[in-house]
Amino acid sequence: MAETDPKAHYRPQLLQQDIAHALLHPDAPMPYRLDRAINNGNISAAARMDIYKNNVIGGLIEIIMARYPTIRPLVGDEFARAMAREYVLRNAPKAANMNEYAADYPDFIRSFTPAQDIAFLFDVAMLDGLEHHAYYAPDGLALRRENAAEYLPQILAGTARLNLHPSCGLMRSAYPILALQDFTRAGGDTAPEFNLDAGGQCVMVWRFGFRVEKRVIGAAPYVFLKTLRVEQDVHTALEYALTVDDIFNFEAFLQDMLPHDVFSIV
Amino acid sequence: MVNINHTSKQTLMGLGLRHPHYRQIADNPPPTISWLEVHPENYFGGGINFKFLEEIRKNYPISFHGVGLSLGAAQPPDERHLAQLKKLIDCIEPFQFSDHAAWSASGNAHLNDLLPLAYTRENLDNLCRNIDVVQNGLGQSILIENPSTYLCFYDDEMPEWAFLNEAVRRTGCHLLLDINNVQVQAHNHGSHADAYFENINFDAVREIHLAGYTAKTIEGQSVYIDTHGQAVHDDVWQLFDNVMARHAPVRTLIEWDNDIPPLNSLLDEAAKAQRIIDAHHHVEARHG
Repeated sequence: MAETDPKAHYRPQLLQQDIAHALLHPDAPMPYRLDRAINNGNISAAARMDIYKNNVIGGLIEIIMARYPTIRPLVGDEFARAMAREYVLRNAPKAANMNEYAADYPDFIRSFTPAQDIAFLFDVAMLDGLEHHAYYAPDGLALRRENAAEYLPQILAGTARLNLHPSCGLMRSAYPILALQDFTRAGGDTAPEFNLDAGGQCVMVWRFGFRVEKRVIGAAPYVFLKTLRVEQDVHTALEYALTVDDIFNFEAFLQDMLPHDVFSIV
Repeated sequence: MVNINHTSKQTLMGLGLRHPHYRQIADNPPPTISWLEVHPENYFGGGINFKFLEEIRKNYPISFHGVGLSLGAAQPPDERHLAQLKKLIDCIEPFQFSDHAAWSASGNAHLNDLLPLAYTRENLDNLCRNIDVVQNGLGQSILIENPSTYLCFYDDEMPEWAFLNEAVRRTGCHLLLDINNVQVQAHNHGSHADAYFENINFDAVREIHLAGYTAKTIEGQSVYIDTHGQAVHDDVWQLFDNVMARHAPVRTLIEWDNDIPPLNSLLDEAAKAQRIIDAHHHVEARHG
């Protein structure tokens, strides 16, 4: 390889940068020096690199498809993959923990021009994302019936703070979003057509034991929980919730939620 | 922690623990396997995966098989990743940790694949430096696994087995020998797996992996892709048989990552491997 050997100046860092760049820009021509560095034998260097491109890009697309499973049945496999591929090409993972990858995919969808006509797709991705978050979120000290007598007076007196459990996520949609997810995952194309104008939903998603739970909640509980997450103060959260619904029954809501590990004590 | 040295089970066989089998293995621990291996990255942070692992570790010794340290990279391992790993090790207490003689990180990008190294002295220096960082950070000796590769470089200064043997000599790490990967790289680069097994430092091997590849045709040539999505192929079983005929048995793992079949299929593969071990040895686990 005396004539073509570029090794004198092809240090590992540069070689790895070139390979990384080629993998993340799969449609670009391979850099000349990389092409000449690969011992291709009976198969071209480009075809050998294509195996790695398929592994890397294809693998990341699969991660997104699995994290946002309701998108494919709604828009079709081809569109879902093409959209995920666009995201991958613009957003290489920053860490080896793939559970963190593509957390901002809903925002990408909102800005992705070909998806603009599907207004509810952002909300669909948000709800899928909340499920993923609930599955992988760390644990917290849950407020339960058995410790409520100990902690509730402290919480009301302000000596302990109440927050949502780390797994708990909230969203408000202009669409019946949880119903749409259920409909889609049940194989919606064979059921009667879904009515997107049936009214919006506030949805709470959280982890309970080994399960992820989802529930439609009212506007006042939504505001209560949303405020609680920011302020970690029951009185402020209640004040905001009462502006939405002046007969919001905090005590009944709390009793209803206590068995479900929705709250944690800070 | 369940100590593998104290298990009453005599099998050397383990399985890669995967999501579809969590509940089944937690509720009905199969007696024909004696340990389980997980990718620790899937358990960083907590969540339901972690809850299952906490349950399952009560019944099996756990091995951590990392895919994220990028040991072969020109750059050092990511400190945040190493800290997350250390935290999880302190919590789950695995009996060993392994990762790969490959790289996946360049700059701020993590490519989520095990990418090939040129087998040069300079890359050996980088690999050994990174192994040292990890072994010092974790306070334990680690295992490094031979990768599947689809290309090699004109820069190569030594065969892969010599590269790995030298890393063992310089760092005191051990080897995880993936027999499927040896066959994949030998086939893809026109070399012979037998020569690899003759030369690899088997005294340093603490674990064997068995998995399935997928054969493809690219530009008219046969290429093996390491998909970990099929049963172990006959040629890999034959290589395993050859290795067991020549060497003392070590812990052996069935690894299946894609198109994951029912647990019984994995247990059948594990039983097949155990029969090959038994045919050559009166089994007694060799402890790392």
